Amino acid sequence: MAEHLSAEDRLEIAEIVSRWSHCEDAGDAEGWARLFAPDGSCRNGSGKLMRGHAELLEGSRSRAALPSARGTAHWMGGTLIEPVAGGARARHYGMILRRTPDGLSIASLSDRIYDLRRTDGAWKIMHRDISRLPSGARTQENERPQGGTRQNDR
Amino acid sequence: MTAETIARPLTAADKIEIQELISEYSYHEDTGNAAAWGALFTEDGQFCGRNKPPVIGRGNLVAFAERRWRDKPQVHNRAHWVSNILIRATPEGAAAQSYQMSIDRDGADFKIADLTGKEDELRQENGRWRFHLRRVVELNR
Repeated sequence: MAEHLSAEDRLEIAEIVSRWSHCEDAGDAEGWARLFAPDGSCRNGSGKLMRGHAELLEGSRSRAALPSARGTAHWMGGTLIEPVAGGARARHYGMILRRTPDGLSIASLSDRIYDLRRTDGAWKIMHRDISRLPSGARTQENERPQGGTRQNDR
Repeated sequence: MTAETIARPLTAADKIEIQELISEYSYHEDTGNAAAWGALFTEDGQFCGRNKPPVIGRGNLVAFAERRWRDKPQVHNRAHWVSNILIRATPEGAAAQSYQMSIDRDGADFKIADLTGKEDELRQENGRWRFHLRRVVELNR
């Protein structure tokens, strides 16, 4: 049964998904992994699934070491948050901007969905999924990733 | 007495719901979900595009969104980004202003297609905030 979300819940969840960008762009792998519950999981833009704290941390460290991870900024759209059984679901658009010798360019657009649960008094991400944008003729909500996004699109 | 003094104050929950309404608009616009897009307006809601006659009433709004998706295939490769949302109370409900950036995908590349503003008059209908009037405006031209 879906639970009620207070304004405080919604603000806390919005900050978690905003912090994602800050951690990614700063190369803060530990901070990024702590956004997840210990048994949380994340599917990245390449379709790879990382499960549990150790895999998430290793995945984030590996990404931060990629040359393509440098000079990027994650720019998120407005976040939709709804109560679901056992927690909450958040969703927003994500844009990755990349610095090039010619200036800034848009590297990717995506639709990001986060399932969250309140654990020990704090909201944590249980699972994060991603699909590409624009979505073309897609009209079904919450579909699984379609592939075709870039390796750095997380 | 000014309009501001007789407006009912908006709670944090009101403002969050209105912010989410404005964000949800992009999802339905970008997936061609005409029924869901129309449901974001009040039954007598209006949408005013730039230099176009207003579309009035939910049935007409849904039909307008269906035609847009069917007749303009270029919008299937477009995503709308919303930013700088400002919300204030009005005697009738609420008003909001926001920026909107349209991004087109061209193969593996992306292009900023347009920048516009949105001016909204909002009302509560059946306990939910909805657009009573949504107007597209020029942004810094």
